[in-house]
Amino acid sequence: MSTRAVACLVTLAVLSSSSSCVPSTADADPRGAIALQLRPSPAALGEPIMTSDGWTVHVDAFVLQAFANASGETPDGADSFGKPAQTDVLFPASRPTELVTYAIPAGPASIQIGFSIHGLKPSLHGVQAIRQNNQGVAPELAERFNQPPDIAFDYEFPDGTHLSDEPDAVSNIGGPAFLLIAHAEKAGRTIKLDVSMQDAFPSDPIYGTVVANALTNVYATIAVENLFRDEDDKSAPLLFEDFAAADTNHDGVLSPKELQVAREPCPGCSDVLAQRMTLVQAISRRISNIFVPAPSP
Amino acid sequence: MFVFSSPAEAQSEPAQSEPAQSERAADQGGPDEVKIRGTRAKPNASPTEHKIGREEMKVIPGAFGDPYRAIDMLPGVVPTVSGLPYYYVRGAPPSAVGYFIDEIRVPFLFHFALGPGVIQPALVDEVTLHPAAYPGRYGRYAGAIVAGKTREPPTTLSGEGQLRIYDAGLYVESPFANGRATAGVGGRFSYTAALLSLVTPDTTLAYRDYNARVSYDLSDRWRLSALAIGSYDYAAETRRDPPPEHEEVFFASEFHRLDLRLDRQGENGATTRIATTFGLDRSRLEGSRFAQDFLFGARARHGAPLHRDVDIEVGLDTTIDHISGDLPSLYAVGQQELENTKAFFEPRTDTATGAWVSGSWHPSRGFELTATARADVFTSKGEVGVGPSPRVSMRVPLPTRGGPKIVFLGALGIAPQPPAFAIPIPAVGYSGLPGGIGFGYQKSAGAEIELPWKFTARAVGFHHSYFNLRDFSRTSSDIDLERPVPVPSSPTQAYGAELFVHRKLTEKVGAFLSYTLSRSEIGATETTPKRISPFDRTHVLQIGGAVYLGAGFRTSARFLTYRGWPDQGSDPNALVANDRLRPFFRVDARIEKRWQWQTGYIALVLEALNASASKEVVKRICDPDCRDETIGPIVAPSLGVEGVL
Repeated sequence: MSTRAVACLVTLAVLSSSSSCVPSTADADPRGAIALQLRPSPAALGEPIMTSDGWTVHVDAFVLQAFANASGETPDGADSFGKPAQTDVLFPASRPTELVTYAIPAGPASIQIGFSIHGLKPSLHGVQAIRQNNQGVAPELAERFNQPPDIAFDYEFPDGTHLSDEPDAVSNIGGPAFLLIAHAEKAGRTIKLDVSMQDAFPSDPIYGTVVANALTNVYATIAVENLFRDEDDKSAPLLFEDFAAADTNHDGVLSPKELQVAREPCPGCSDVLAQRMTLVQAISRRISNIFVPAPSP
Repeated sequence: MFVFSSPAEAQSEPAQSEPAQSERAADQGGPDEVKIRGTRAKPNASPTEHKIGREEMKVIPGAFGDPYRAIDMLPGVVPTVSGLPYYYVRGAPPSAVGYFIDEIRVPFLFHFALGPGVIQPALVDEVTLHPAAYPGRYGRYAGAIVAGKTREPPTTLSGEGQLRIYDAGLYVESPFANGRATAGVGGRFSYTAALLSLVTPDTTLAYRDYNARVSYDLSDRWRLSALAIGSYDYAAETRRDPPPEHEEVFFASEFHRLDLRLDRQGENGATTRIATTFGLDRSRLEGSRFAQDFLFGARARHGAPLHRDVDIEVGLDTTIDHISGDLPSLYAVGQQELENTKAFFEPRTDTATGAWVSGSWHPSRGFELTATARADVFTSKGEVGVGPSPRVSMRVPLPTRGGPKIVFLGALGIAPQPPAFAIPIPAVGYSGLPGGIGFGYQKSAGAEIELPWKFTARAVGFHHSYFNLRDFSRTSSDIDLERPVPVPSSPTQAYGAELFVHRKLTEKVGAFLSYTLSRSEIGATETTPKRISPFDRTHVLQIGGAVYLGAGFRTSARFLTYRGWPDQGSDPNALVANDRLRPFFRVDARIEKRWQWQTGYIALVLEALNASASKEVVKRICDPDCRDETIGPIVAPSLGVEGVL
């Protein structure tokens, strides 16, 4: 075989190999991230809240254990949830806080804030101990989240039994989702409220637009004053009288039991008590309204 | 005229591990000058290995003439799924079985799924399965080694080709420069893409490969050579929804190797090799990232007789893998996914360096004791792991007083391995040695007996245990791409007995029986007790034969059966298997008609893997009525023309 023939063969081999090439990664499902920037309202910073019924309410501390849950639409039209950076951020409402969610399909997205509870003991039912991610909460307040809540999540079955009667119920193995410490004054009367609770409704959706491979900031205000506003009417006046009325023993302190018993006023409802929420249930629902979309600064 | 290469070689019989080779060196019309080259047993052989020669590979039914696919006829070898060339060997998962060609590590040897081998059969002289205590020059695999060896460069123009329904392959090699040099080139090209486009125009399936070799004899003792091999596979589907139209890649992979060597044959039988390897691997998987590995390797070994009865070999080898990949935007994936992706694709440089000394003592005919001391050092992303690997193996003829020859076989070895992905995929590996070095502890003993009519029988009992290996069975039947850190310790073990009765298939009538009785178990961890491996097959039986019918016709067939998969019910981590799924069996068949042509031949070959079209039951689903979930039938028919020059 001639040297030229050998050269031809080698060239042929090189050419045949060079035509092979594995394609690089294609981005058929572009995704990005949203950072929900939470900013305190003046009331969350401790400024007084003047209610329509004449009370002056001070929120002394409002601490949440929460995460952001964002979703968008994939190119083939399916809803797809993003992946929260942290699922258990413990933070005070008085402090600017960032909740990041990754891997949301590019385009319009909605964000909800959910609440998480700290597992207090191992359970066969899947509630595992959550490592606390404390972002600026005083140690004595943070420790409250490692203890059973003052008011646990509960549900009354039709037969009159309660979910909390079950030994492995979440209420028996988890800590609180939020802590509210406040006091209110009116005409020399002071009412104090210091309660940690487990049941909290997720926030109403907050909307943003996700840019592929980028982080988009979306802003919201933590308006703690909305805890004293009707949960179904965002333009309703701020009221505290129903809380004050719950202090049935007139000791100036709203106990968990008093909150669980007291029913909120419901002008349109029937007189059947079961159709009216307790104050505990009302707070659980009103908490979904404290996150108010805000323009970027 | 007979010319012996060296006195050392002349005194030895054709070694069991390296058969003698004769070549007709003179012109056809002139006086015959026949060179016989023989080599004595050297430490590169392991006394308990299985070796399959070039001619026998071709007639093994269902192997399609592919040298490396032929090993599945051997005992101890269990396919993950029938027909797929990913094997468990004595319980070692596919990631723990190393494949080499001329000591060059290659990531895989077969094209996608049922595809043919990536090395041209014409280039391969023999393939050896080392199930335990493999030779010192191999390392970094906790399970078995499958080692191929290329043919000596030819002294005349030679070639071999196949033209089949779905692909064509050719390898041609010729001497030049007055016989001092040779050059060969070949490759395989599939036209599956064109064929598939007639049936399913949106599906693309393509593969091709190339092999090339040049050698130059600098002198009677020194040879410079280069071997290049490469392979490419691509499987994708065109999708129009959602727009825009795009190709969704299921699997794309390629690898390239260029090996440059300098060999020396000493007068006393000594051999020396200094070599460097350059390589490029690329892969892309469905839904995953693009990965790339530029690799460089260097190795040197020197073997020499230390004494009339003792050979010794020392060596050193190192590989450097520069791995990179397309990392996703940190905003486009979750943090855990990002960390997991980094574990595979983060740019890094991995190294592995090993040194060994191996001695072979052969005081009498047929007696061979090989001892090896080897150690490897692995580095990745600042992590360092050390893997000592002592091994000993032996063949000891037993006194039988005129009866049949019986040889005792024994092997003991420790084999370390860095973390490896469950299936060997080019450029996909773990960063930072997560979980540490894995180890295989290999123990086997048995006997080989010569039977009448050129039959041999080998029976071996084995117990292999593995620690820290990544395996399908550890995470049930699901392949968890995103779990880079293995379960701590991850012990698994396999034990059993192998029987191999064999008469060469190249004889006028050849036959084999291969049977493995074994059990594979996944060991206990802190949270789970011991349980059976999903890939435990308990019984694997093959019976095959080949017959020369005359007039150029040769036919061969093989019957394979193995016990069904463990039925683990709805819980993949079930501690006790409910039962066994249905056993699997298949029949492979091959028939060829040869026409002699000059010094070679042309053959028409009809062959089928799983001619019985059997389905393999892989799962039983009960909701609440039970039904079996099957794979297949995986049938691979082949009609082709084979030519040898």
